[in-house]
Amino acid sequence: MELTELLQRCRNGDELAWEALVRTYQGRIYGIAYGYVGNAEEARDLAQEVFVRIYRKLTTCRDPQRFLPWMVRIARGVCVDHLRRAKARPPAHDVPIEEDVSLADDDPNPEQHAITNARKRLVYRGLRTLSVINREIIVLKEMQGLPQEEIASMLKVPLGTVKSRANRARIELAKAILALGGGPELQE
Amino acid sequence: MNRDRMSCRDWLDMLADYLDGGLAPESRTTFERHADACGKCARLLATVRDGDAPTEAAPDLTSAVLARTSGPACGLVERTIAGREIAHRDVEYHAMVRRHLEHCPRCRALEAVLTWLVPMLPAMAETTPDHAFAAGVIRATSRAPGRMSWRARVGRWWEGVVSVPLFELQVAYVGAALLVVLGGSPVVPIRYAANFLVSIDSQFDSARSRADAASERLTAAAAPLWHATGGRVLDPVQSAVRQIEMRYVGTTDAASVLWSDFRNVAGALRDGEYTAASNGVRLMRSDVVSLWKALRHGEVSASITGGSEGSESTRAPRADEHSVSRIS
Repeated sequence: MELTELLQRCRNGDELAWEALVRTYQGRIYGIAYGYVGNAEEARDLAQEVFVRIYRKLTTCRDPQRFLPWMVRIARGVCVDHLRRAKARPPAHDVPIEEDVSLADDDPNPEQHAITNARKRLVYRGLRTLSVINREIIVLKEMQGLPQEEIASMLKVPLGTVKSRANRARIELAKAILALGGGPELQE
Repeated sequence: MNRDRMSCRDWLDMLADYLDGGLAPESRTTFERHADACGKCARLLATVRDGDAPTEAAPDLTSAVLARTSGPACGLVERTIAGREIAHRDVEYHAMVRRHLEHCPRCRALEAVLTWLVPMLPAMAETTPDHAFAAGVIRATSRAPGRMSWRARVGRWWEGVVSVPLFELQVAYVGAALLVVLGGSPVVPIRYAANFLVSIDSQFDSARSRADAASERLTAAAAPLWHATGGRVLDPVQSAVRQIEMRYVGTTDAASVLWSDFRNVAGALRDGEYTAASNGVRLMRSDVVSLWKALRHGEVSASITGGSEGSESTRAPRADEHSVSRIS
């Protein structure tokens, strides 16, 4: 079913269509939330909150072509609000990156699968060491592949800032991964 | 000096001329023969002529020189290996970057991470949550709550309440508001207010009786004046007193009716009869108009005096009589 029709059905209160929409985009929303917070439990709660907001605001998204940026914008708002609150009220201890987080990977080779999962965990741990804007650029540009203009509008910064920050954020992330031990043992 | 057996120092003196091709053939032969025989001079010649740098001799030389001059080029190399917008760079630039990477283990490690990191990030756009996630979202957004036990409903409601941002602040606000309402709100004790208004009415009655007494004292005070002037001066005074009294009587009657209605409204409020109170307020509005006319012109409307005995026509002569009888 096309997204346009799916959205229309959701707006009309079709619960089955809504479930299909949730199942279609849950990985992406959860991925965004996980990229922001790096904690499975928090990411799960945030992703659920994102979907609740999407559900309430479905009627405001009239253009299906803009659904993905619209959805990411909501997800970003929820995650940034959460980070702001967490900054004001930090947890008593550092929350570790879960070992049991489900990292989608269909590599049949077990050894390669282990390396890929180790790398992904390193990426998530590295993301948590970045500044919020660098983290956002990595999540929105590198992971979600949003256009730079969209990111600039979302973050309310000039387009040139996004362009220059993108490279810098990538370098910072690579350095953080190196500092976390992502050295030669994780090479192919 | 034997030209066939030259020292290394002599050989070194001839090196520049040799490289320039300025040596005579005999000297050139001697120079080359020494280089063949002396390994140290042969290495130096190879280094100078062929550019074979003995890097192992001074491995930190480059970094030391860069530290004292332009600084390390790692930043530029990082931007190059991290970015894709370097297509405009020429081949020589990339060769220099490769050469830097060969000698900089830090940049080499960074490049290795970026090699797997950059293609991996788009693949991380989606991360699968646990299988119960979608069901949780649908339950949270469903319009029909389904068959849930009351415990589950209360738990879900409480979960929603405590997850509200600034929940503590809201609870504190509501608690404070509740304390104010229960302890000291000016709105709640409306019955006390009604009783208070009724007490004002009784005070008004006592004030009216005091005003009556004052009127009698005024009339009594006018009697000596009447005797002293033989009644000539008294007439305008008497007329003025009569007018004042007429206005006073009209005003007090209007005020009396107003306060009577007011008392009814207060009583209705006290007893919780709000419809009667509303009707009473409507009557008070016309009472206020009548009172205003009485104060301004001494008029008393029929609506006030019609039902009572104290009309303007009956009261004025009574006041006149009253004053005359007192004077006489």
